[in-house]
Amino acid sequence: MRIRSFLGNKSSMGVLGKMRRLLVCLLFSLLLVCSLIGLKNVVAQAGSDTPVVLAIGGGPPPPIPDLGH
Amino acid sequence: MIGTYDLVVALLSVAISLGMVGVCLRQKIFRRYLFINLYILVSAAHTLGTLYFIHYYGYRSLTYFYFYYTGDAVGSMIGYLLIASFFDKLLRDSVFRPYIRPTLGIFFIMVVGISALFVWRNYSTLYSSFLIELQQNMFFVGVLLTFLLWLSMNYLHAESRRFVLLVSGLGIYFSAHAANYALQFLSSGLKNALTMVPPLAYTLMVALWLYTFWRVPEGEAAMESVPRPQESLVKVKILSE
Repeated sequence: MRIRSFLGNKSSMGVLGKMRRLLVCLLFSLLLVCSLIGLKNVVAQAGSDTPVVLAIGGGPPPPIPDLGH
Repeated sequence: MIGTYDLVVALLSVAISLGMVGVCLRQKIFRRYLFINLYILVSAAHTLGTLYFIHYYGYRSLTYFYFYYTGDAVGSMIGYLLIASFFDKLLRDSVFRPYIRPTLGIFFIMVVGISALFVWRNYSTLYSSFLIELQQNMFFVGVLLTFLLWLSMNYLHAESRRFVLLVSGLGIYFSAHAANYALQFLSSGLKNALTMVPPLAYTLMVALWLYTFWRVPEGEAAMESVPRPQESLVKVKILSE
């Protein structure tokens, strides 16, 4: 209920409401970015510098040349 | 040259992808599932492109490397839009709905910024380093957002079976990649065998999506609601008193 009252609804949005919405979006984004960096650090601490290969198609990923990773 | 296994998986994935798009066109739901179809079409074109570049330039050539990772970056971005569209669909009736698009937009700009920041000092191989870094970040973003999507789906009790299966396809894809990555740490001897997994995971995801669009009707319920056991309700009541 508190979350709902803090977020407000779309119809009651003035300048303050828009700023509040932007602030909430920024906070959510920062939370996601921190989770991303945390996840990457956990993987890095596991002991490998090998970049992960995410295949979007069915083709074989090429070998990665040494790029200083 | 690539082996028979890679060739079979690549052609199979293209055939299944085109089949899925064909099913969507036949059912006239192409526009409703625009991002998933766009993602599949870009991936299929990318797969055919990889076969062309391997044939004419070679598997270990720099041209193939640049083609693969540039196409992959484009595909990852459309994949990001796809996950965002799933969030949008899931939280349509939620109070969070107006926050989804701006949040994911800002998050994406931040991810690109972080990727650029990490490779800024590496001038000589700026583009290739950026591509690798961005792709890695997009992978972690994909894992993270799919996990959050799955959690929200369970929490909000998603009603459509089709939606649940589409998200499950993403889950299979990303979890296979994550498991593959973890196994690379554990055993370097398996490295050659493990390179076969990502294209196979992609093909399985597309096959699941094809099955979903082909066999699962739009309005089918995800699951029947399970009534809470009376006993546990009584326990909760007693504890709260």
